[in-house]
Amino acid sequence: MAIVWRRRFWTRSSGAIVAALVAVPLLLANSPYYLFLLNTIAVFAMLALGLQLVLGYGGILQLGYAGFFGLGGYTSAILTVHHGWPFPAAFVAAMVVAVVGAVIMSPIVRLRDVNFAMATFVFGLILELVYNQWSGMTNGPIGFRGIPAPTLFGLTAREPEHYYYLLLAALVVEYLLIFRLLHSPFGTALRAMRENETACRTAGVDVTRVKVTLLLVSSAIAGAAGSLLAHMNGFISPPTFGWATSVAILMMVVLGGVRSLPGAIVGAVVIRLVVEQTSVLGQYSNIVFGVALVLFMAFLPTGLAGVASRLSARLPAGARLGAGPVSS
Amino acid sequence: MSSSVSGPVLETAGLSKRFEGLVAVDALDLRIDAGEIRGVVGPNGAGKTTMFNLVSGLYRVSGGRVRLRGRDVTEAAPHLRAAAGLGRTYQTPQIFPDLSAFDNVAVGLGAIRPPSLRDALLGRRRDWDQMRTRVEETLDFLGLPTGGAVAAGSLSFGEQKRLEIGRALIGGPSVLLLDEPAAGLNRSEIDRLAELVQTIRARGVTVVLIEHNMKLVMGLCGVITVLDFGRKIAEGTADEVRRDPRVITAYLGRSDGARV
Repeated sequence: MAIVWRRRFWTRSSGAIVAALVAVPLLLANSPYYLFLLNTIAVFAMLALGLQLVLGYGGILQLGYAGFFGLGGYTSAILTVHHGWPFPAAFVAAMVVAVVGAVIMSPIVRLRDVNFAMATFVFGLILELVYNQWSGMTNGPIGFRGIPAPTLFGLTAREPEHYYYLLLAALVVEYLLIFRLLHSPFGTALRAMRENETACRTAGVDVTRVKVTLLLVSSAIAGAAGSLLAHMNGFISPPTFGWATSVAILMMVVLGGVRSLPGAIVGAVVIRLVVEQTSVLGQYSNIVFGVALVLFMAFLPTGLAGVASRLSARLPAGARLGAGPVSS
Repeated sequence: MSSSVSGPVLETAGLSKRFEGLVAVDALDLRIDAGEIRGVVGPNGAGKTTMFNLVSGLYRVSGGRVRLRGRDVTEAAPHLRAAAGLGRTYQTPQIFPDLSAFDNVAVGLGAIRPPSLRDALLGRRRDWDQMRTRVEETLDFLGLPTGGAVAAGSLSFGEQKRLEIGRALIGGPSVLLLDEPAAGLNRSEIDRLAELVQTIRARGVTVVLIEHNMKLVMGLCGVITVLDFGRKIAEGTADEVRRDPRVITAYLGRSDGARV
C-alpha cells in the first residue's frame, strides 16, 4: 500500500531471483528452442513493464504501444543494414526515434478517457500502416531481412545464450529505472493522478507534463525492445508491431496484475507461452485472447499478482516472500 | 507562508461565469486582504463553489479577471496558481483514496517542487529527506497519523477533510480556499476546525471560507461576503450582514416584516 521514496531494490529475494535468471542458460544449454522462447519472453517482458508504467500506474490508456515497438525495430534495422551503423548507436537511435514518435503523439494527452484511448489506438494503426506501405524503407509486408547480430564491446551475440544475457541486462536496467521512478515524488504524483486528476491539478501537479513524461519514457522502452527484437531475430515484419501485439501486451499487464511490476513479467511469460501453444489456432487465437481478457477483467481484476498477494497474506509472516518489490 | 504585507492577496474584478443560459457568477468584485479570514455565504446555488472553481482555474472565466498577490492569473493553469500560492479544498473531500495519508499530503509538494523525471532519477537524498520531514510535520500539525500503510480512503470523514487541508497547506500557500470545511463534522470536530483555521491564519495564510454553518462563520470571519444568484448582495461584519434587508430576503424569501 504505502510506497516509500527511494526504497531499496536489492533485497535477498530480488537478488536471488536475478541470480536464478543468470543461471537459467546453464540449465537450458542444449535446448536452443527454449532459450529462443525465453529470449522472446524477455523482449515482451520489457514491453509489459513499459506498459505497466504508463497504463498500470499512470492510468493512461496507451493502446498503440506496439507501434512504438516497431519504430525501434525498423529504426535499428534500417540504420544497421542500409547505413552501416554499429549496434549500440542504432540501439540508442531506436529509442530516440520512438521518443520522437511519442512527442508527435503527445498533443492528444489533452483528450479525455475514451477519446484519448481511441487516438492512441489509431496512432498505432497509422504506424502499422506505415510499416506496411513504406516499402522503400521497411520492405513492406514481405518483411525486413538480414539484420545483423548485435556487437557490443567487440563481442557479437550470435548464440541465443549470449543474447539472453544482453536481454536480461536490459530488463534489469529497465526494472531498476521504473522501480526508482515509482519510489520517488514523481511516482507519488503519477499514482495520485490516476486516482483524482482534478485534485492533482489544484494541488500543484502539472498533470499534462506527468502524462507526457510517462508516454515518452514508455516509448523509449518500446523502442529499445524493438531494436533488441530486430537484432535477435534478424527479421522483422509489420504484424509484429500491429494492433494485435498492442492487445497482447495489454493482456500481459491485465493478466499479471495492474500496478505490479513482477505481475507484468509473469503476464509476459504466461501470454507468450499461450501464444506458442495456440499458434495452431491461427486467426482464431485473437478470439481466445479477447474472451480471456474479458474474463480476467471480470473475475480477477487484480490479476495474478493479486492472487499471489492474497495467498501470501494467508501464510505465516515468516514464510512470505519479500512482499514483491513493488506492492501498492 | 506569505509575509504579513497588507493589501489584497486575492482580487477578482468583474468575474463572471455563464453556463448555457445560466449565470452562475455575475460580475463579481472581491478584494481579500492579507491576514483575513473571509467568509463567503449564500443560499444553495448562489455561485460560491463556482467562484472557487474560477479562482483556482478549474473553470475558464466568461469574463473578468483574477489576481493573486497582484499577479493576473486569469489564464493560468490550476497547477500554476497552486505554485503562485493558492491552495484549496473541496466540498466533498477529493483525496486519493488508495494512497496513504503521507502520499496524499506529499502530492501538494508539487506546488513548490514540480515532480520530474530528472528528480526521480537523480534527486538528492537530502532533498527527499527534507520533503519527507515536511510531509510528516504537516500530518502532525493536522493531527493525522504519520506512519503508514493505511489507505486514506479508510480514514474517517473528518480526517479526510483535514488531509485535504494538509495537501493544500504543504506548499505554503498565501491564500487557502476552504469549501464548506464544517459540513458533515460533529460539534467537537467543528470546534477543532475553528481552532485550526485560526492557527493557519496566525501562520500567515489568508483564508477564504465558504460555509453554511453561520455560527462558525460569524465567530471566525471579520468580513463576510454574501452571494445570491452569482452577485454580491452584501459585504461587511457579521452584525452588518445580519441586519442587511437584502440578506434577509435572500435567505428567507420576500416577506414584509421579515425578522431574523
